Amino acid sequence: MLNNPTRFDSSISSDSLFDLVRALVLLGGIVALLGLLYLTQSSQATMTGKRVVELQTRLERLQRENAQLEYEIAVLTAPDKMAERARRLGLRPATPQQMTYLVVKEYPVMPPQSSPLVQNVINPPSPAEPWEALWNELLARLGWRANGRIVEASP
Amino acid sequence: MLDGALVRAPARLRAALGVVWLVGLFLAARLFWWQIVEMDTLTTRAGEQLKYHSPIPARRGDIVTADGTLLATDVFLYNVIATPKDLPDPEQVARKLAPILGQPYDALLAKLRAREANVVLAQDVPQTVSNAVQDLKKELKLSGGLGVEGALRRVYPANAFAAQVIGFVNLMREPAFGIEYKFDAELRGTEGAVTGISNALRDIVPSDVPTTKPAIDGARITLTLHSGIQRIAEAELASAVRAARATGGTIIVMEVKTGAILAMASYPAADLNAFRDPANKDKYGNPAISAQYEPGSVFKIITTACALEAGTVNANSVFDDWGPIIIGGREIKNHDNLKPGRVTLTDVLRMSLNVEAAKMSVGLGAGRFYECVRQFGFGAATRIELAGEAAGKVKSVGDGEWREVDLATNAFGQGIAVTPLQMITAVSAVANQGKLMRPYIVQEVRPAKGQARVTPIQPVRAVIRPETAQTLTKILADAIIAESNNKAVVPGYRIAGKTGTAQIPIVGMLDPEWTIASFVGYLPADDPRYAILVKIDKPQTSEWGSQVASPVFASVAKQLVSLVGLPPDSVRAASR
Repeated sequence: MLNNPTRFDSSISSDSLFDLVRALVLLGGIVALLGLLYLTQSSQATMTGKRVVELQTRLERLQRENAQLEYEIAVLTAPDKMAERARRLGLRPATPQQMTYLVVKEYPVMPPQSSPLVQNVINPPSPAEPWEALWNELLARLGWRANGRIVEASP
Repeated sequence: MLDGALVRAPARLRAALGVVWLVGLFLAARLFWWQIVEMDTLTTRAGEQLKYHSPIPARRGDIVTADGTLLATDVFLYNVIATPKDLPDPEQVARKLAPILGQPYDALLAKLRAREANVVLAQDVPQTVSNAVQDLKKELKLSGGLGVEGALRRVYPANAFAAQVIGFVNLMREPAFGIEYKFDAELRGTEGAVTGISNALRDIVPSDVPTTKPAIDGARITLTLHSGIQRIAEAELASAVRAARATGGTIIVMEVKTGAILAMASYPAADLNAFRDPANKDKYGNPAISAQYEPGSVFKIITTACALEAGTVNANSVFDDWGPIIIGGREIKNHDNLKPGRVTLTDVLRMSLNVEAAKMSVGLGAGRFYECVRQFGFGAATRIELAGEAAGKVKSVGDGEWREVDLATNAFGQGIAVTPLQMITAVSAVANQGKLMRPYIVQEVRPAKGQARVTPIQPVRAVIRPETAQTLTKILADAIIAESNNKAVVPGYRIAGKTGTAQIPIVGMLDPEWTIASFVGYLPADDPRYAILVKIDKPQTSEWGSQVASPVFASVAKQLVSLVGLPPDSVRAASR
């Protein structure tokens, strides 16, 4: 055996070869797995990106439609139009003579308001911070929080 | 020989190897140049080519009244555009598009067969129409040939309502007049953007999560105007101007205890959506704050307040008025050349006696009189939050323009220039126990992000003592009651006020033909809450404030008390 270095010990070399192949297969598997993971993650990111763009487009479209609807409501409820419609319905502004005030003795007197007309401003709620909105959205998606949509009860 | 060949290559092979080395070195050098030296430049250039940047326009903030009526807002409006040469079947497109755009099929087909490169099929259509066009494009599988272009547009849902207060924004998004101009920085907002990677068609490639910087919309501005009161003022003013065949007019309603403007109407006014119409060019300025006029006898309220405060007259003073007097070489006379004889202070205001008003200012002396007039805010802008306010003009002794006769004529509102806002603010000070308030018309500025800014109620100064104010209010109210046919009377309510009929100065003289008829008053006299100024320019049916302006005051006041639910004096007295 020593005299012929070109000859192999068939039993030892076949084991080593098997181990080598096994290691290579394993390595290949790991690489393939990592590649698959990368591809999955990458495609997920792409899909999410696409979805975000779609949602943003939809949000923008809805906001524009909402603004349009608010404008149309404002047009229909403009003071002159309301007055005209009221007139057509036969309504007339009440004159002081047509109004009757009742004096209720010992009725608790309200403290005078400095500006009764201009303080009746209904302020819209302040918009939430972006991280707060994101957190709430996440909770809502997980079902741990009711989402922000308000459904009015039927009368 | 074979061993030698292995050791030493032929010269040609070595030369080839040298060339390969040289080429390799050259390539390595070029690679170093492009990859290392030019890295930043190339990265930037590549980034520019791939960069997707789509701006998100910020919506301009809304303007609303105190009771929530929307006066100005932003909407997206679209133009529908066709490129005829890219449309494979114009008949089919026209047939499907006609009901969406509400246009006749034939007219639409003619546009789609036009030879122009691009044809505008419809202008300023709303989002719903734009959506329908986009859906049609998908249905017909059109890659080009039909499209929509959208842009934010400022719109005014109430048209000419409170037009001079609001102002407008033109197609270039530049503001003009009113709140739009004064609060442009707050209303404008900040543009956002979507950034990412684009394809050759400059559309975003969904390769990664795109970065979005949201737009920050402009602040929402809430005015102190009350839509009901503003409508009453506008309707009454339009009706009065037409009835008197006048050229225009102004009505202001102010809350005396705060200085809040509840209505500010001027006539003529124009639809804010029609600012491009040349006929409307001169109708957007706000005469309530910019028109300077001689107030006439309304100013006697101020003169009397100054005299009462200084103690040169009092509620029991009696005057002998035997007609014209000479001051500074000029004759001062009452209207209709009245010579009433012995009169009280109430009579002076009831009969609007110029001679006695002149005597009061002369009795005060120029120093005290003009000091008092300036204390009431005349000669200086009120600093209301509106663009284009005028300061008026009060002459001063020694300013080169002042003459002795001015002391007399100024006492009854001639030779002095005021704005309607200054006049009502000063009279409101009398109504408000002598305390002058800074008028304001913006209740709140609420940014899309951050804290809302609420306008504080700002007392400017105490001009006269509360006792003086109460005395004058009583005198003014008595003067109105004493006149049996006074048209400013509001049944059930004691009012205080004064008419004014002022001549209009023209070059070198007073206009012999035209006047400005006005009335300024407040109610209820026992606890004043609302001040109303009515000014009618150049009425033709009558020149007198008592005939033209007083009935308008009464009409506005009657509707005002009904609208706000202000009980009559008797009810309020009983409930105390």
